[in-house]
Amino acid sequence: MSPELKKLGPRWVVFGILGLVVTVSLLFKRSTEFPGTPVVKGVYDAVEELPEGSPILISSDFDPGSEAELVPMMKAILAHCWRRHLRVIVMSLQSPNAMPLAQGIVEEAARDNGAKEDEDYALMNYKPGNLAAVLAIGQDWASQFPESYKHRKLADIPAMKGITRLGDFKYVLCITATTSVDSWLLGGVTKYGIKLGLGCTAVMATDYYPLLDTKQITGLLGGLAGAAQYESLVKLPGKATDGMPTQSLIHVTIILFIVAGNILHFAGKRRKPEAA
Amino acid sequence: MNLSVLTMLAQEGATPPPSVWQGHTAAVIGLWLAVGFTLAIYTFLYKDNPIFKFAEHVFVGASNGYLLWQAWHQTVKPNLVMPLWHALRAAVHHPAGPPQPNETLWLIVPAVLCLFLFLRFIPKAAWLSRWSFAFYVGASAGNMIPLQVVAYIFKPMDFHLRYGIVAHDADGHFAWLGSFNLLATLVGVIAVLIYFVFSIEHKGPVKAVARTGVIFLMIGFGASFGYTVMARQSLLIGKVQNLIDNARSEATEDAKSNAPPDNPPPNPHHATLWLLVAIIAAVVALEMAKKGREGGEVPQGAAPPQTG
Repeated sequence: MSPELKKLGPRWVVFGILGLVVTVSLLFKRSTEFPGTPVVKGVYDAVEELPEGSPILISSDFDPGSEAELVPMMKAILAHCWRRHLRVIVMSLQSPNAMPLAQGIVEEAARDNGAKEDEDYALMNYKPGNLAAVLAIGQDWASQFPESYKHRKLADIPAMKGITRLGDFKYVLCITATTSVDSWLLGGVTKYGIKLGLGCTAVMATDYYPLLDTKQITGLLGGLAGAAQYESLVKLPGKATDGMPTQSLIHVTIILFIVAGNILHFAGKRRKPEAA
Repeated sequence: MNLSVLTMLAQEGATPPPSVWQGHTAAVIGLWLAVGFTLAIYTFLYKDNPIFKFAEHVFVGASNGYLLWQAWHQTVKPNLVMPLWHALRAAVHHPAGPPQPNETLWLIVPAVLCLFLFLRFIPKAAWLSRWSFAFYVGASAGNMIPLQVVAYIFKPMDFHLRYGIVAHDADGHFAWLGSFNLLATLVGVIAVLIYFVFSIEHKGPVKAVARTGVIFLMIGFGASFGYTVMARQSLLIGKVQNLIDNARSEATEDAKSNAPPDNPPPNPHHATLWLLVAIIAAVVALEMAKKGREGGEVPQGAAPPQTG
């Protein structure tokens, strides 16, 4: 390592600069529009094409660790669904932690959009078993979800009217930070032929792009960028839209760090033979 | 676990799943704890220290405790304990209320397989846990393999055989970018597969193709890593946004509009600033105390610390 780099050494200088960039950028927010790419529009169009009153299933498969990326995405999608007067059913395949979080998100979004519980949306439970659970609801919904998250019988929930199995949903959206999308792909798309959309963390996005070509998913929302694009499409700027300029600034800062690090590294290398 | 404890745990009408809003006092305490623990975790950026350790242990303990509670109420109780308990009561002609969904004595089989898993702790009976694992792995593989082959091998192959390397846009015109994408995918898949074929020596044309495979792999890893960094940035942005919101004296307009009308959000009263000062002071105090202790202790046979 070059002496300059050593002098710069303490990692908290790098972290401090990044922290400062993030804080200052968030303090001076600028509203920006993010045009929806075809990949994100695939989900938007699928929701847009559904007839009024259609049931749509959202699998909320994330816990608080992925809140920053996936909550804005889920709120924008929920708002879009209720604008289109769709019936939203929310469940989880991920972990028991997911449903309490989903409940908070859905109830908050419902207040903002004037959606009524049990009429415009219904919360189901977390269902363990991944693929086995998807295969089971493909045959009989009530065998896996005999009652809602709040212990109401399915027959007492108007939003569940006409839903007896997975195939009754016109569209399934998996918002995930885990591999639960594989269960939806294998069980839902491959076995039962459902239409699937995916919202996932940025880390996962590259793994699922090939599914777009083969039309196994209609669209993909990857991380904060995907969420910001969806917010722009539904004209509902939220936390993702607020966060994206900061994201871009961090990118620039990191690029500058990489350039500076390389310059210092090569400068140090050139000096070494002279010293010898 | 004896029967009375099981009965108590399985009682109907036990605490329902928690709501995210548990009253104003809980919200105030939650807000200050969230800010305090976030800052405490960030002290690791300076270095490993007792405040970070404390926050880390509380986080892991609380997360696991909460997960266990949720797992009991959302999974074990409604799917196994309650239906099985009702089925057992019905079998001995003492029905415990109206029938439960999925009530069947067949649930004894998964219950026993679950209990077998815990036999890992008893060396003499540990072999029985393999039955549970064998069932789990067998059932998963049986369900998954045929569907995996269709979804991840047949579907992409079908797509490429159907379209080759020529893509068209919505109007039926030749699409340069789409075609390049198809070509890159085809070449990439073949090249990467050849790179992983170790039964042929990598020399001559095979070496060239394998090298191409490495380039594709590196591009793939680079894209994945870029997205990973972006994901971490998003988490940082979320946390800093939260800290900024809680550095204000009053709750943000956004929080006010999102809260239920009968339960407004608590005012943070500059929680971030107060806790930032307190945590920095605590880290400095702990560092000074540590240095004082190290300065006072002279290990046997070691030279005294040099001063000046």
